Amino acid sequence: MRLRILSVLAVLALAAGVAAAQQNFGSSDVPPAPPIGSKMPAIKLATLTGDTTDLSAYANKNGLLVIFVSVQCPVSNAYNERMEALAQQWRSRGFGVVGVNANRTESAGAVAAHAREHGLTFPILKDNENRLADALGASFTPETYLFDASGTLRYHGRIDDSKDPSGISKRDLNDALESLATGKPVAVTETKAFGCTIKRVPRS
Amino acid sequence: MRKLIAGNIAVAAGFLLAGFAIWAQAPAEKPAAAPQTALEVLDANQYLAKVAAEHGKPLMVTFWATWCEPCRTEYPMVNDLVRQYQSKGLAVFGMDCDDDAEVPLAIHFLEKVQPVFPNYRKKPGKEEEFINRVNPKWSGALPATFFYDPQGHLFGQLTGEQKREAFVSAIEKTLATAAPQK
Repeated sequence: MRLRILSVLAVLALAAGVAAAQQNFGSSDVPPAPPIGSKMPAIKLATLTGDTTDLSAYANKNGLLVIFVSVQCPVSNAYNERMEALAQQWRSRGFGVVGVNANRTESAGAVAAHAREHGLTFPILKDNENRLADALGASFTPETYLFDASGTLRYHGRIDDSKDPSGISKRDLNDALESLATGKPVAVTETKAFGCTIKRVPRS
Repeated sequence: MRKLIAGNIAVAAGFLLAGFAIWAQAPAEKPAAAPQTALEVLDANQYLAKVAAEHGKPLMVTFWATWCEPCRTEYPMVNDLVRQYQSKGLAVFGMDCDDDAEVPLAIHFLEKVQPVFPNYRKKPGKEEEFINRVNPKWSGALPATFFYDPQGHLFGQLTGEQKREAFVSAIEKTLATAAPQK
């Protein structure tokens, strides 16, 4: 028994050593994402008309969906129609939906024009200092965070598993929303996908 | 007259010898690499096999896609650095993350940038599995470049837009992991 415990400890120590040995050259400006179960951060953002607002102001009775979006990223743009469809569907089922643009290279004016051009009716906010992106460890677009009615993070990751709508086999975000709406546990809480890195404000 | 002819022959011989010496000194030109007209597709297992095939050498793998504007911007700079560092023992390959429909764009991009290192394409589908098999700490954001030591351990990474200095520093740290030459 003692030998088994020692073996397990040795393996854990080795894994920790390997993980610690890995260096992140140059990518240390992206903090880690908070774990599932974390609370929605209370961070001020800017509306596209320059007013200051709070993320929680956009929540609804069943929760809030936050999507980091981009004007120029082809992957984010491949999801424009799907994001709008999700917003319309889930707003009617008691969820708030808000987009967040954290790209320093994309102005509020450009974001507003892009939304009009692509028929995006959900509000989009500017995260000018990347405070929300940092608090949520957001690193690419489109990247989603789903908070329940108590402001607890229940899902983080992709919208679905294919940039090309004809190749979708898993609709992870929709499944998570359905679970929350029907009081069931979210089966898949974290997912990943390729996307464009968020163009952060350089740190001094 | 004989002296004049002999003098001319001597001068001509001198030019011939000089020309031969210059030709002998000149480095042999490498034949131009054949343009890449197709990209070998790799799933996660095949990607890891490519990494394993480079064991014994420090390795850099750069992930890019034609839809990724910072990837397209940094690629020529990376290519230029590879030219410098390949002779110092750095192994390199590129991984294109374009889907099937974007392959012509990828080929056109490679024709334009003329990489001095091989490029493969990630097999479409199963993105999350692939991302996690490359590095479970990677979000999937592009551009991303990974650095492996000669034992094949993932040593470091650069994600997002990076300046040349960041790449130089990362490459030199990676080269330093190689065993010293005896």
